[in-house]
Amino acid sequence: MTPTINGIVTMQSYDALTGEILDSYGPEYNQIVDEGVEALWKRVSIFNSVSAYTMLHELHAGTDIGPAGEGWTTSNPQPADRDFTAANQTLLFSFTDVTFLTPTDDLFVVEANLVGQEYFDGTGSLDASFDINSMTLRFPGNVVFAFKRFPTRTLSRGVNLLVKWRFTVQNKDEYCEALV
Amino acid sequence: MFLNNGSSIDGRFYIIERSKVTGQVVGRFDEPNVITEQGINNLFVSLTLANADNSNVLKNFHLGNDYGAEEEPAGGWTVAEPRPANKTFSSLNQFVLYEVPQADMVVSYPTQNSIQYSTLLDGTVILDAYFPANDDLQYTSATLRFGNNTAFAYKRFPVRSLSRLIDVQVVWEFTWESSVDVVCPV
Repeated sequence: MTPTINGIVTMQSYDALTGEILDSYGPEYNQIVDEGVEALWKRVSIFNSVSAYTMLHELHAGTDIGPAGEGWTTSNPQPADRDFTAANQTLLFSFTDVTFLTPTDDLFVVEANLVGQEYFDGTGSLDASFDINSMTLRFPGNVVFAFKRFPTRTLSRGVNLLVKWRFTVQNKDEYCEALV
Repeated sequence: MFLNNGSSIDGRFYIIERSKVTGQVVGRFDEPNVITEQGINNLFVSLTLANADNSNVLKNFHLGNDYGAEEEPAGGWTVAEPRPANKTFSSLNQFVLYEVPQADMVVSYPTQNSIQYSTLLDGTVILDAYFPANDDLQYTSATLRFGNNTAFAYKRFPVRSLSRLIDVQVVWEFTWESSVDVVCPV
């Protein structure tokens, strides 16, 4: 088996009071970046692992859309690439209330509920809302494992965002068979 | 059909046999391996564990003499043509003859996306210590296992022999290729 690993992002904006779904995004593929792969290999190969080579622990939301002057917009941001790092993200806020699940051998799920009010409490912002265009899943030490840019999502005191990041494994051959 | 932005883990297994006397390469085996479902699961789990938990850290090689006759008696498998490992295999499929001590394992990172495990099997030392009455040790499988004994990668191959005249270098290399395009047949 040559495993093919796909990170797939879905997001749902919902009313903080009623729970009503207001908007959905995805499923869309993410980008697992080189420095994340390096951290993974060291995580599984160094006994009594310390410092950066530990567990995934937080989601970072950003406002980056790509280099200026290249035509990227908030509705059409530059896709993340494998050589991206934390330096490619214009960080707005970090969310550490993240749940990790491994329900089956071939599925790894990361879930986070981004509560708009927490952003305002944490930053003291007086704005009515805030926009995000990117998300990274990081190891400690700001090492990025997976990176996703997307058309603007807007959160506010009344609007939260449920993020699901699913990593699935398939044999290349089985993937093709499933399409038939 | 294309599947973009996926990533694949390609594993490759090497055996290089050298004469103890001359250092000459006298045998070589080199093929892709199988990464097991349990191994992938352990990889995922390791991403969510805190420091100092070694159960999900890759530990060492195990050599065995399994070749599929017990799994599939009617399959006609032999030591010269063993049943290939598949993704559902676990450490229970292997009949272990020799476990390489962790201290003898060498880990290196040839590139940012790859990892290599290797060891040198000294035929004289191993046979004198563990199989003193044997002329050689015949093996048909290898696994790379985590600290919790789960097999990450599994390889079966036509029988190889470790003797007092031979040193064997075993190398297992894994490369994570990002942004692969999986092209399916039309």
